Amino acid sequence: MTNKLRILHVDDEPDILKVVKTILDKEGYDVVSAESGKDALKEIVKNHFSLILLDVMMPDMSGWDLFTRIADIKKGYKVIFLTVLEASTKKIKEMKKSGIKDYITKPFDRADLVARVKKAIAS
Amino acid sequence: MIKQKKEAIDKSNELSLAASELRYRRLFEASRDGNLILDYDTGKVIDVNPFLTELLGFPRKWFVGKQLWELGAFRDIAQSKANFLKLKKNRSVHYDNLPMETADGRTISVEFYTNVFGVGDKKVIQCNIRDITERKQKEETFEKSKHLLDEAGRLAMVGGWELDLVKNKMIWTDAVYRIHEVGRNFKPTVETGINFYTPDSKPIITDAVKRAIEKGRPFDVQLQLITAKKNRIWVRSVGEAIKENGRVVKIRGVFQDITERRKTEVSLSEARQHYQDLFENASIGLLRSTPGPEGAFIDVNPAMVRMFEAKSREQLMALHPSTIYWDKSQRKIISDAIMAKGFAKEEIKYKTLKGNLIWCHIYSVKKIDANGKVYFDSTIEDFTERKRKEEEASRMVTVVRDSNDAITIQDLKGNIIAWNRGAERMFGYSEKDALKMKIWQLAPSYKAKEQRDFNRRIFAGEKVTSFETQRMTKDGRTLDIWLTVTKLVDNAGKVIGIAATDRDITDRKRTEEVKDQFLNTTSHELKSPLIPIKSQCQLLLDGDYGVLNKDQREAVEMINKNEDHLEKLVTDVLDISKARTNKLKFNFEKADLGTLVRDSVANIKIVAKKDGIALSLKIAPALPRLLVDTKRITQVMGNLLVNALKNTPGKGTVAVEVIKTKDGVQVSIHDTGIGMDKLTLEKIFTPFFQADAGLNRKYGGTGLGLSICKEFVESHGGTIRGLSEGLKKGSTFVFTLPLKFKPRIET
Repeated sequence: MTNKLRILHVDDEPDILKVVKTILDKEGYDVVSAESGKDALKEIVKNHFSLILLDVMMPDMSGWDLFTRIADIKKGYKVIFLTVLEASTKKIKEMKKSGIKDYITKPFDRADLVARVKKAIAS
Repeated sequence: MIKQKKEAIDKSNELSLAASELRYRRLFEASRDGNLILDYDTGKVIDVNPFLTELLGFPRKWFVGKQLWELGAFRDIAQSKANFLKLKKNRSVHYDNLPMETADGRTISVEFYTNVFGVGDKKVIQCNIRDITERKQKEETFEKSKHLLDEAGRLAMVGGWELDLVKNKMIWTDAVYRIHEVGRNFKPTVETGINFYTPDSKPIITDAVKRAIEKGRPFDVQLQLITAKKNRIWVRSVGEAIKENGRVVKIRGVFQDITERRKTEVSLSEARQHYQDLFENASIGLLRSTPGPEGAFIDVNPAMVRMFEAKSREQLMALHPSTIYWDKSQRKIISDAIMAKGFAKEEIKYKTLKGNLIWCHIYSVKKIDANGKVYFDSTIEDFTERKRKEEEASRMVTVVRDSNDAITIQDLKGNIIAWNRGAERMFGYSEKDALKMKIWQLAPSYKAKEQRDFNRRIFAGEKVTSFETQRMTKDGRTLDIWLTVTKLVDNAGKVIGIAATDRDITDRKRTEEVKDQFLNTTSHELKSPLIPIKSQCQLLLDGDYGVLNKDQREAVEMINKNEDHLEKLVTDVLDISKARTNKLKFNFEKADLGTLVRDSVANIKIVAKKDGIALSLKIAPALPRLLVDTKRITQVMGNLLVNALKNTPGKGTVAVEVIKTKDGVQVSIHDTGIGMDKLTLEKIFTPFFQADAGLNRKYGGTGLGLSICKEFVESHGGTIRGLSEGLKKGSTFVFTLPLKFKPRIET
């Protein structure tokens, strides 16, 4: 058992999972990658995560749906959406009310990603 | 169409006829002349006035239906059909003194003249019969008798008088006593006689008598007097001096009560005034002209002057009638037709004095004056506007009827009262069915209340023009509808219904959804592969996978640079297409444009310095805060600044200025660089237009920068333009953002 903080990253693109894992592992986190909503839910049941990074557009289950399902299982998860889609400020405000910490548009800048992840975990 | 027009003319003729007919009928009934109206074609009597039936002593039915020559009383006028035809041919026949027989066998003298005119489509011959028996007799009597006073006295209300200057005695005949309404015991003198006259008439008769006495002058005056019984009457007093040995010894005269005649004269002059008023005030043109290919005006009414846009009646009168025809040669044709048929009824294209084309209905009749000269009386009615409206209306009817859009009209209670073919096709209800329905029966159940509320709002005066809603077809399909409504108001401005155009946008909505979906998917699919490329480049350059040698670093940097370019290109293309389809999401918030511009300029300071370009910034104080999407406007500033830098190779200046305008804020970016020629200026906002591809490569431009700027600025209700005095003279880009801006509501 390490005492590294665990982060769950859900995205249907393996390449993206891999680069995010590379970047965040370097920062000393334990990144668990899930390629679908189904896999993500399995991980949630098994482990506790300090932060969940969610993609929005995924084939089996959208990030929004997954977010609702996770909240059903356990409330209070810190979640960052990591997506190419733009959302209006209004929508982001709404999301922040329901516990979503941040919204990062892809392609992201490495330093920016790391800073936002740290900020979300520290909050 | 022609039939309609004809009916319209007939209708308007009928209306004016009805009015004039009533007037005419009164004259006809009350006339102190005999009047007989004959059918022009058959010669049969159509009407006879009471005066004539009384005069001749025959009942009305004795006349009506008979032909003129069948009436014994008229045998000297029209003994045969041949005579009648002659009468028709000459149109106006005048007999000075004709004998006629009355029912009781008397022979009377009449003056007889005819007149032909049109009543609507019908032509009639009017026979005017004036009883001149009395006049004739009087004339004969007077001729026979030198005893003026006695003879006159025999006739009722015609009296005689004699003033004997020698004996200073006044003699009246019985009639004079009667006229004055005094008894035989009254003693007439010059003074007592004159006292009967009104203050206005007194000086006239005094003067006349005085001159007759002193100078032997005859007189003939009409005077007003008040009888002993206080009746105000008109009298005619005719007097002449009788001389003996060169001295005036007597004045003799005739005295007549002319009250009745005066009344007739007054009513005649009133009637003349009445017709004069009609002529002056008629809204249709009335004119009298001479015949011929050119013709001349004899009279025109003010409506003619207005209709033909003449400055004055004189200006119009000075012209030949032919000059107001659009086609001058038509005048001859019309003139010939009137001469031949006696009338003409046409639709004619005229030209006003100002050269405007007008369409008129003309109706002209041939008339003959007392000297036998022919003239034309015409009415001209301008129906240009009506013709235009009719054509427009008929076009509109076609458009409405055949429109693919459903067009419906509902009354105040929501009852459908009009239903076009488009509505039949769209909703599946036939016109017959629809006219029994309420408008909200077309709305799906969940929209029915909305429809009723909407009607209430419209009738309450709210201004609603178009909106999106749903409709239910007869077979239960739901349609997306774009509804445009117009209030129908009556002449008093009261709302009486709603006309609605329903456009089926179901397909369009579906296409839009597909397009939306496509744009979302595209942006996702195009960007996704870039994410690992970018991240891996960063990891490589950051040395996460070990230290790179010089060549490796250059290679990775090249990949990274091109990834940046590709990413920008993808973002720009998507931004443009989203902006074009109004799919771009904006986050509008109140912001200070000065701060935004300052930050944008700060961002490029390093690049500018590296290129040796002097940057200057001037921001006006106290700028109003505007509703903007800071991210988008920052993007606009960035694009314009990068453009300015790349357009200024070598040393130069880029000057940025923010000023307050009347209704917003204006930002201008001026450079001293390569400038633009006119051709380039026209195209700069066209996507992918690049004035210099080489420069773009260096600065990583996509050719979409200015197009995006334009889309973004316009999405803020602003304007953007590029200015340049020419090549090598620098360029200026100016954009303004308005103070009053209502963002489009996202649907």
